[in-house]
Amino acid sequence: MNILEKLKTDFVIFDGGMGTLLQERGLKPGQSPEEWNITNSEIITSIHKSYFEAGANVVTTNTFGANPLKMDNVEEVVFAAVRNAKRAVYKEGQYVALDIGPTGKLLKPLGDLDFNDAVNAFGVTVRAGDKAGCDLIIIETMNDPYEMKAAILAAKENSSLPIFATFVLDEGGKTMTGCDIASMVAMLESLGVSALGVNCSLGADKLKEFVPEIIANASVPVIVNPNAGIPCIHDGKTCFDSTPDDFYIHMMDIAKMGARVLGGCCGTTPEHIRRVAQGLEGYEPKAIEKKSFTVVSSYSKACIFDKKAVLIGERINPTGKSKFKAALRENNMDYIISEAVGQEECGADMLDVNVGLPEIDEVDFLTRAVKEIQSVSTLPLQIDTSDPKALESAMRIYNGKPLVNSVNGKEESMSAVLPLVKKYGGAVIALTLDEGGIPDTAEGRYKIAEKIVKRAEAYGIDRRDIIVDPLCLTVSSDKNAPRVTLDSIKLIKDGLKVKVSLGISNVSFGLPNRDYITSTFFSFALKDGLDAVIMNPYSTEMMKIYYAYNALMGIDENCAEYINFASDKKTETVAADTGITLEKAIIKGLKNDAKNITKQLILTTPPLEIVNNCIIPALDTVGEAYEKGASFLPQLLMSAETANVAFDIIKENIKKDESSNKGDIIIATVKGDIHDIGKNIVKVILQNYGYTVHDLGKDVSPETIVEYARKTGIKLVGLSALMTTTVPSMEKTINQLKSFDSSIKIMVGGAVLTPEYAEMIKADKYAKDAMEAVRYAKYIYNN
Amino acid sequence: MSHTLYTVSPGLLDVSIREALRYLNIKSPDEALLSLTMDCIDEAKSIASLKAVYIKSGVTVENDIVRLDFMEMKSAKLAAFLNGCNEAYVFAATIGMRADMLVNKYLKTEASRGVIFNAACVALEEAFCDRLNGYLLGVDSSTRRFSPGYGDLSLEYQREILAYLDAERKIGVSLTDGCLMVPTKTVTAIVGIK
Repeated sequence: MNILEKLKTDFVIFDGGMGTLLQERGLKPGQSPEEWNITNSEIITSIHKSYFEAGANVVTTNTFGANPLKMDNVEEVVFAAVRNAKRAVYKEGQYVALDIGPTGKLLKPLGDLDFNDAVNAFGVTVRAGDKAGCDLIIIETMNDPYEMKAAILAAKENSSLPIFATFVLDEGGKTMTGCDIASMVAMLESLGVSALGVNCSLGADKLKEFVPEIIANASVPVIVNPNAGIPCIHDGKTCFDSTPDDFYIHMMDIAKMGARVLGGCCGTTPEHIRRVAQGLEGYEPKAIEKKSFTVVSSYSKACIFDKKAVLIGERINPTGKSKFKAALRENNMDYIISEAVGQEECGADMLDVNVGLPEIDEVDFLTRAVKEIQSVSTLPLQIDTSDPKALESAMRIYNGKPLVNSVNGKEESMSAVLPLVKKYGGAVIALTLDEGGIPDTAEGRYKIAEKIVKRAEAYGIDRRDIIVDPLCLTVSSDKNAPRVTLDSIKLIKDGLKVKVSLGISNVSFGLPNRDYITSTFFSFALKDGLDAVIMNPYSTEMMKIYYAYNALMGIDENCAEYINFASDKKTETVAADTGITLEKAIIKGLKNDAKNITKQLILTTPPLEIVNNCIIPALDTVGEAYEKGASFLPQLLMSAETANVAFDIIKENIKKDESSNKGDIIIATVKGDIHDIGKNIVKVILQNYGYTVHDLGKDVSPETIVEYARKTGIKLVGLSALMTTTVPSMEKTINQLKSFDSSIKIMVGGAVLTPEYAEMIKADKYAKDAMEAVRYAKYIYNN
Repeated sequence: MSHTLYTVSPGLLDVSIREALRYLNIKSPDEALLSLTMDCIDEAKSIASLKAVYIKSGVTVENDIVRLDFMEMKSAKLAAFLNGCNEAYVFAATIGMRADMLVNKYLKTEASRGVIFNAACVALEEAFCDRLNGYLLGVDSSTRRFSPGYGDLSLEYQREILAYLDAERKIGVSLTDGCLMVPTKTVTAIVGIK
């Protein structure tokens, strides 16, 4: 019987701690426990054996830190470890799990390890374990869901063994990166793990509190491998405060709650496991309930499709938006970031991300856009592309369980998109169109939806992960179209038991004041059971319908959300004319005033005149005060942000031939350095003064910077480094830039640099702060 | 000799507004700046997860070489600092990953709040280290710790210290290739026991 068959009907008991037992046998702190697989193999085998004898069904190999980022001889260590474990097996029903712990490095953007490098590193361990003959893989003690995803992908790509996955929770029931239980479970299940749960960090008594929530979200068996309480010091030795008896009592509670896989982590011993195994003897495990709700997630938040319709913000999409198209062509992520944050603030539950434009490299741009948005927004994303390559690349690096937009009934679409959903995990929007076009009856659309659902199920994708969009055509060209859409919603929901979504704005295409039509149609669709909607969260008409509908249908407890929304609207009055000038507003950092004044000014004054006569002088005043120490960095930045508000209005009014660009500048934090506060400050201020800043980010290799300079022909580069350890990397970048083109000017800055140091590494300019960077840019570009 | 974990609820810490402002070089804040800083400190406290791991070690000092039970370091400043101590605590303390995530977000969306929030996180980390120092030595003794990167004590020692403290597994702290700690609001330090 393999492990998965046993799991269907019975408890599975895992082993307990390894580290503490090794220390008892002489392992010194700081020493590699994995090396003992080779040097002290008997000891390792005897520990495994004592766990089997205690009643464990599974022992985990002593390979927690066996990955190529920590050691050179991964294969040798893993082979030895598996051999040691297999030697301990003495009867049927005893299994060996390849143990995979974290790499010890944090993934980008928080750390410096690239996602795909992490997948490759885990891949080495997985291949070795698979070859050595393990029965399953356990990925454990993961603090970061992103690293967990990398490990699971590596396991899927390099082996077909069952995958068990456990993560670490803190006292608040979240991971170190703030991921909650529902989102972790959503991601793990969609990636196809055989069992999931928690380990380490807390004792059984504390971990117990979180078990019901895990079980309430999971459809697969749940694992609980706690520590033996909290480590304490007794007679100069580390002890854990949970005795085997104590541990057993809590573990029995956990079993009764419905956990299926039970074992221990740090500090637990064969005696702890023996007590649990004895306790479970003759005890029937609770049946595992398969969940039917639809859920997607980000790295920290889950979005469950429940009574309230899920609002999917549609604004990150270039269709019909010339500003967005321009931003895409200019490689300007700031625009996308502000749309993401803006929609989140307006109440969107998810964000659609579409960056499709014929002239850009969509694979690269979509992937970067997803990463960037995930660095500022906690909302789950809907990846929207018709290019399967771009879809795969974005799904791979997405942190969480995404929604894919979309698949349709065409053979070509189903065979391209559905395997990706299966591999990378996700839910998918299914459009009811196929080779025959869009049927003009509800029955016709139902048939296509049914075809897609069946096909998805054949790929092993659960029907709860299919969200059908029965398509919403324009009422101005077909008066019956909205009726057919509404009929389709009911038919598909009733018949297929799936969730239904609509890209709703299309209904009003070609009509004036489109919001009136769209929002009214939205209210009908809600009444007919719409579960999600792709819409414009900035539209007050739409949000009005949403909140009012929820209140009227009794799904907004005490009308709280409605009250919050509606009271907010009342107070949103335009600030009275205070007689303040634009300069004053910028100097004081008053964004609302700046917005109102600029809107007035633009009616009577040429845009560039406002820039040169009001904005720049105001920025100069603030900059001067800052340099004299009369005002401070946050105030400088507040003024910069305020000036940006004015700039946004001005840009909309600038004619094509009138450029406000004073020059292009590349900026980056050098390779090895992940601090980018200083660089970001310089960027904001430079932008304010009218420079177009090409921000390459942090931890950027010299090659990337040179390549970008080559591609764009930009002659001014700003480099930042905060730590002494990364200054050599700055020097290398300067060398490469200069040998590529000696006319490129390079300014440098950062906490450890001095004018002397800058000269030594052959920079052209040391800028001590953002204002000095502006002055140097003015000098170079002669403006 | 073994690892001990230490934690405290962020709400219990007295985080100095002055310390946050000092980090930004602000001597005379106006009303708006003060209230924004207080707001950021509250937010930092609300998302922080304070964790530390420490061990006690014997100390011997010979010229500019400092020997702990598990490693040796070359630094005249540290040697002077530990002069007269036979024992020391070595700790790593962090306010957690979410602080970095939020700093990153604000820098991209509202840089003025970003720099203040960052300073608030630094002040919170300092307050946490002070609390730990006081707990270890039983007195208020914030001046009595020394960290890699100060004076002539190389940042490279971070690697050995963190490995020895098992900081990755115990409190979720790791190092980048450039020897920077992540979460970035993390301090490692040596505290002399006189």
